[in-house]
Amino acid sequence: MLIELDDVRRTVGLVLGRHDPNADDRLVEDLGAESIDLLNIVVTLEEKYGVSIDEVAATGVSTVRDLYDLALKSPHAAKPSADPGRPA
Amino acid sequence: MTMPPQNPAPPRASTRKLAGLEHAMRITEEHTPFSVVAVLRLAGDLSPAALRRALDTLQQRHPLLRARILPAGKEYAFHFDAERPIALDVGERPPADGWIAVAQEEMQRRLDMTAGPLARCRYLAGPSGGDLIFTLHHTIADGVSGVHLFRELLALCAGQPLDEPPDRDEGQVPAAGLFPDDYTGLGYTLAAAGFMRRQMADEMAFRWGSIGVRKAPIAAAGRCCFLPIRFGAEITNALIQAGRRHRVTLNAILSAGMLMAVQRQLYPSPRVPLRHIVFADLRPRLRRDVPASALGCFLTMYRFTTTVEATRDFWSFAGDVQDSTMRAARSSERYMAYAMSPGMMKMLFRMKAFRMGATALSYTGPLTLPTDYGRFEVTGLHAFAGNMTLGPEYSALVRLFRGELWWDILYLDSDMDAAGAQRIAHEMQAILEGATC
Repeated sequence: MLIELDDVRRTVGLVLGRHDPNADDRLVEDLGAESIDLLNIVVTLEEKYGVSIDEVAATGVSTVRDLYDLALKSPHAAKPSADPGRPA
Repeated sequence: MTMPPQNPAPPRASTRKLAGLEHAMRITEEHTPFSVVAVLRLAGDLSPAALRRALDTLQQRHPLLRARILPAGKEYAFHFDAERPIALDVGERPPADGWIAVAQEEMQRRLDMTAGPLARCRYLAGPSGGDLIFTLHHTIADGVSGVHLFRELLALCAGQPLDEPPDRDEGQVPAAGLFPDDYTGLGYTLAAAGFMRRQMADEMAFRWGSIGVRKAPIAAAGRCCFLPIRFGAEITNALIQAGRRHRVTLNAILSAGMLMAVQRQLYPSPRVPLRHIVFADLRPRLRRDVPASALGCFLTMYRFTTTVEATRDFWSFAGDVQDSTMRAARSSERYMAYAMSPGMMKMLFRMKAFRMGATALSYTGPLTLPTDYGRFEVTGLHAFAGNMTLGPEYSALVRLFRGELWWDILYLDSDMDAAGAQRIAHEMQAILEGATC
């Protein structure tokens, strides 16, 4: 499945019970995520996109956008194409 | 080796009262040395002269490295005017694990609170590396700020520039001064009342459940002993993956393993309530950002009772430990436990009737310290926080480093001998290995 920033935002919002978080919101400071929430977000993204997110890198994530970037870098990630006409 | 401070970063106020957990730590210091002893294990070439220069620069940069603590009425205050340099003793590196005995000695030696500084350094130099033992009073550093301090120290030793300017607010405001608005004024009073109610309920449940169960001994004195162990990459990764499958954090998994091992080795009853302490960083939950580069102790601790059953499934128990931690985190406990800790410590020392807990664990996650500094590299980091005979029986600071879990276990010789501590560690490893199958 293609990883899209909007979809990662929605996933974070669903796990945290927050409506429409911004890409640059910080997961802990701005959205109030606890450690179990962060774990749930990572596992949800892994299951949804079939990726494997590294523990050390996941711990260093600050914002929703960081999380998206990390998911994109993960093995087996399906990346969105810069050129919409080109298959991802 | 004197260090006349040249243009030190001036703190805005020359004194500041200790508050919350800082105050509790200073109260503890009246009964036992309450330092953090960190050991940086190095390979390569680090000269004592470079280390001396780096310590002096660091002291100029950080007001809390020029702090001392003096009484202020019935309380205590930081005074940012310590004149002495950070002491540096250079000696010969002992073979193999000889650093452990030296680090234990450091834990026993008090820092001079009234003269300051609240830090000292010992460097055990060998032909191909050394062990740098840094002792800091817990009031001025925690896991986050301590690691950042080591990052600065090692960069300075390697002649690298520091990438951040000094924090002008370092030491000026305690965590309690930065609580969110909900926990100030009337909000604070209500939260404090709720916290006291929960603590009393927990106390009742603990006492009721503890009838007929072994009572932890309270010795007149005890010496802190260190037991560093490591879980290899395979079991570490297996625990991370199993935690994801079961949706349990590594912190809760390690806490559950420790509690079960302590129950099996120290509490022979099939069902026993144990008190466990976990720690959390308040920085991300304060009214304004406190950078890791600012020294200070912004920790809070959650203390809760959990019933450990000999035959219980590990993952169900780990889930309970996690729920207990999350309940505390989602209530006002993170702020109230910090703010009300001086009262608890005073009561603890006055009554000398109970211990704070059976176990304590601080999992700080992946180590964020760079390891390569050109002429030398960091091959390991250990850290131990002081304990006392009214503290937990078995405690550990744990971190993820190079794909492995590094446990720095601390026990008191009044509670157990080295073989006993080792048995609990083996039990813990067996429990956690079994949980990944």
